[in-house]
Amino acid sequence: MENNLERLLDETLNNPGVVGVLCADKQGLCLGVKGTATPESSGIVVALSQQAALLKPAASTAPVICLESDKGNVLVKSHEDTTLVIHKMPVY
Amino acid sequence: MGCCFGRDEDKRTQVESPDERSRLLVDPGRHPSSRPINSEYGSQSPSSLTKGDEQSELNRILHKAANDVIDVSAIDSHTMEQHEYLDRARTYSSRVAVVVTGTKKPSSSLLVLPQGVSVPYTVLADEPVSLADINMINVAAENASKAVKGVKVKHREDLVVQFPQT
Repeated sequence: MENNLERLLDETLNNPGVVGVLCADKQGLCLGVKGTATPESSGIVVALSQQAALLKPAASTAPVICLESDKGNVLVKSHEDTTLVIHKMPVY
Repeated sequence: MGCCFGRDEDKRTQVESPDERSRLLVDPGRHPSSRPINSEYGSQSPSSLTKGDEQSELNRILHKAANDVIDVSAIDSHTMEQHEYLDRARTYSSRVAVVVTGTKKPSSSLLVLPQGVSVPYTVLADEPVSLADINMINVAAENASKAVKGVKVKHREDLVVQFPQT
């Protein structure tokens, strides 16, 4: 069931600096969301990850995307058919 | 005479018999005394005819030269006054301002981008993404993929629901 996914999202959110987590499938469907992340952004981040993967088509794994701003960093990573997004504030 | 030209020419000018080969113009430097322009004597003689022709020819050359000459100094004498210069500068600057504001309007209306980062220099000057963050997202994504694969739909209720007939 989805308990494993829920637990994983909670564990990820407990990391220092992490304020939001989102998990989506390859079609942009939001599978789980915690913290500051919103389900409406799942389609955008999945599309962004797929576009970024086109930069290196020969690479075996999808790249890690980091959106840097003054409101924290957004890390996006796709693994197989699942995309995970972490919203992380800088820790000083 | 101190002439350095040929002898035939000297002979012809000394003889002073006007014919079809006689020169209408005589160099005044060479013969200053032999043919004065304003001499009253011999007005009916053939030599007076050559003098008149000579005068008209000189006038013609003078007019031609006066028409051909472009007086550059007269053109240059028109210098721009200070107030005229200021007027032109004002006119040009106002026209440039009109052109700049005219092209700015459509470009600003077309380009509507949100202001993503209010202070870009702080973001750019910040530390790069740490390796710990990259490792964290890598591990979490891998675990999430596994967790999503484990999600299975359990059949508990009927998939087809009968709505009550009204």
